[in-house]
Amino acid sequence: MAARPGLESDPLVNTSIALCTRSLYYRYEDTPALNGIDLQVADNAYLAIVGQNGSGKTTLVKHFNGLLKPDTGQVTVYGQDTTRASVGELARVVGYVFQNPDHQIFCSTTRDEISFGPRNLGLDPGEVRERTNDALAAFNLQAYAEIPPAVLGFGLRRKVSIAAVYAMRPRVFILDEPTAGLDRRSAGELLQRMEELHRQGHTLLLVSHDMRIVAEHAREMLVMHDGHVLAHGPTREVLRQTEVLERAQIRPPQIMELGRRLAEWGLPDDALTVDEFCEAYARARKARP
Amino acid sequence: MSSRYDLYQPGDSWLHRLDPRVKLLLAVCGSLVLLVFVNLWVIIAALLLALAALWSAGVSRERISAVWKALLPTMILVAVFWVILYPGEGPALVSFWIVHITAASVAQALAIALRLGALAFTIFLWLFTTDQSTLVRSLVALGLPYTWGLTLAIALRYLPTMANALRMVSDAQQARALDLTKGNPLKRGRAYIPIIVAMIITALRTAENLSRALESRAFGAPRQRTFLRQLAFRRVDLIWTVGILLATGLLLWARLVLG
Amino acid sequence: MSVLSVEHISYAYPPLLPEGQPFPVLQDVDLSLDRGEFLALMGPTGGGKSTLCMTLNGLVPQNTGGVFGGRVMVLGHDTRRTPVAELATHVAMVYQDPESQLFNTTVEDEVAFGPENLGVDAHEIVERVEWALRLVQMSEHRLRSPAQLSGGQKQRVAIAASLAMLPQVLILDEPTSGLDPVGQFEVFSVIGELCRARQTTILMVSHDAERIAEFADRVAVLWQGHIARVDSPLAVFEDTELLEQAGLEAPQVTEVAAGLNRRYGTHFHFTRLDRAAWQLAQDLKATRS
Repeated sequence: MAARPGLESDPLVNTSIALCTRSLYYRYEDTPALNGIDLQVADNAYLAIVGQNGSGKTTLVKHFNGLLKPDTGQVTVYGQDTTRASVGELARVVGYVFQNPDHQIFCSTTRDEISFGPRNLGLDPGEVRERTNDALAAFNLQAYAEIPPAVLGFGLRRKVSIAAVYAMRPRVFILDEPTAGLDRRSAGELLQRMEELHRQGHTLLLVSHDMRIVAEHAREMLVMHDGHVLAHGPTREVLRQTEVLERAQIRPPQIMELGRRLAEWGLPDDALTVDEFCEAYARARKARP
Repeated sequence: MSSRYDLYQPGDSWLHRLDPRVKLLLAVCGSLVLLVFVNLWVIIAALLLALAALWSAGVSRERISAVWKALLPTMILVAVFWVILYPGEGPALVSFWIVHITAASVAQALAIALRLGALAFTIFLWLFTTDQSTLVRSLVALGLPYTWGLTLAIALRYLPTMANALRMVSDAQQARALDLTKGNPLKRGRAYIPIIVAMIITALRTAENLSRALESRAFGAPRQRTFLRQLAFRRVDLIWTVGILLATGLLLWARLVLG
Repeated sequence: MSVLSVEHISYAYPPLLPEGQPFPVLQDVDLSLDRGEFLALMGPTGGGKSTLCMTLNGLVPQNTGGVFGGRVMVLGHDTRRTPVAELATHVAMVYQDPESQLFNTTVEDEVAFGPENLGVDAHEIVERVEWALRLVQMSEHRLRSPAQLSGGQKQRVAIAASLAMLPQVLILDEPTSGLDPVGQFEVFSVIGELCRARQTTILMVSHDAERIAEFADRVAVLWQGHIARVDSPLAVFEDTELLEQAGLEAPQVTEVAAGLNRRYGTHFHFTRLDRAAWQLAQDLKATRS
């Protein structure tokens, strides 16, 4: 597992727990948003966070880069208490890609847009240039480097916003609905890139409503509802908990429901991919009655 | 349910049921009278009347104290400056350096300061008890071109949305290590450019979508536009209108002739 | 009976900069829509689906300018010549972004807006507003501001506002992308109701293959500027080559069918969960006995 150059020397990287919350409570004015969250996310985890809008998902992840500070309780990033670090300092370690790319885009060229983050980190111009080129290449955006990102199509703007955070080389990536509104190919390309990041040692937090993508890619899953964590564990195990999913008003991928309907024939209710299901089906066919 | 950006407090009091055009007239005439009078007792009377009306309309204490809190700094500032700059006649109560404070100037300063409050509450008689939709409708009924009314309605409707977008854009840029706290005021001002530009682009995109949505709902059709919301001018509204106009006329005459 | 016919249209957006080139999006599109049918439109992101929708209500080319070739006839009206406001009485459109298509201060005003513009009698407006709000189940929210509504609620109001104009054709441009599962469920429930009532002709743009399989009579694939295929959902979703080329997704159960057919020589054909469960159960019964 080769980490990308530049990560090992980072002083904040010193434990095997990437993100940790302890009795985290938070309210927006009068409404409670987080009701006592205890959570540990290991280094190099690939965690999907699911739940309705208003369940507290976004509120939770905003604590990880210091945009929000806990009312009570503690939040640490690689051992660093977030109340004792600025958002800028935490941005070095935790990169947050917001759901709407238009909330970030403002530069007159894609190159400037992507180099904005590294420049804010105070890196020298040579380093900034190198990281920008690296990010442009990683997301196939070289052809658009001198074009204003605001005039690009939605899929490309989405890529630009992710590349812009990628260029900051954070250890942790939080991605809020990165595949929403994308067709399958574009979504697939993005998810492939994310798999590579995971292989390279990064920790990924994926906030998503697309249960199929969660099932096919995320290693762990966290289900939130009403400011509480209803379940946290390996994806397969969590998706099997039908009552939890119902409470959180989430529908599992179609093949899981299909498996459940054919359970009397020995079909599994926890197939994560189409291939898995097909193989299980073949086995069920051959089985003795 | 009203948001933080909506002044309206829902209710069904006599004041709520009054025609919004009458309330606008009340706000305008009331303000006119207040601007013309400088007598402390008149101003206090107007203030108490406005507060009494708001109280009887069921407007919450929180709202009223919020207005006081917002106005207090300005009121104090105005009073202090008045007292220093306009010493009245009569014996000085306090005297040092260039400051001569007389009883007359204190009374005057109090009047000027309280007038701010009275003006505010007179206008809030109208704004606290009229919802945005009815308000715009009443302006159009009074002769405001419909397009202007729609523009006003759109601005009011998008206020909370834009405020929210501003927060989100600010968060997104800060997540890219944009520092909004360091440096001199000029530097800090420049740090807001990424936020402002992203906001402007978002606003432009919204505007483009809006124009398409407007057209898809037949906006600008060459027909006589009708209205769902009908305003009913009742007898009590007529009585109030006459009453307001008479009272205003009388008070203005009194001020001009009697002083 | 055809309510809508798109005949050999080509379209290029005006250039972004004065000295630039027009931006071609549609090459040679032919499509027709019959009364009461539900047509789903799929295609890659940025492929011209929204543009095609806007040719149906006249916004393209009347609002957008650009270079327009061919002809679109809507209920006997030519969309190049008939004013957009007039076409709006026949074709209503719900856009992708819930936020920027609701602009009045209350839900009630929003739904009344269209009829008001058309000079409909006040009594009738009241009836239409009541009817439309009841259909989308938003009656209790009639005095709220759109700014306070959830995504699903906003889109339902947008649908009500469109229906209040009593159009023959309703176009839905990705009505649920960006909504959470509850919001998606709410919006698709309403669409399902409309579908069952069979009074409105519907054209829906979506990436959600499973929902398309649930509602659509026919599916059209817009790819590289023209309609690559228009056929029954089954035929389109089984055309794996086309889906692969265009980067589109089939319902998960259809992928299961394709996987099983490919591997074990079976002959499964389904796009929906019920049929899948039934066919697979039949097969298991047959092979086990």
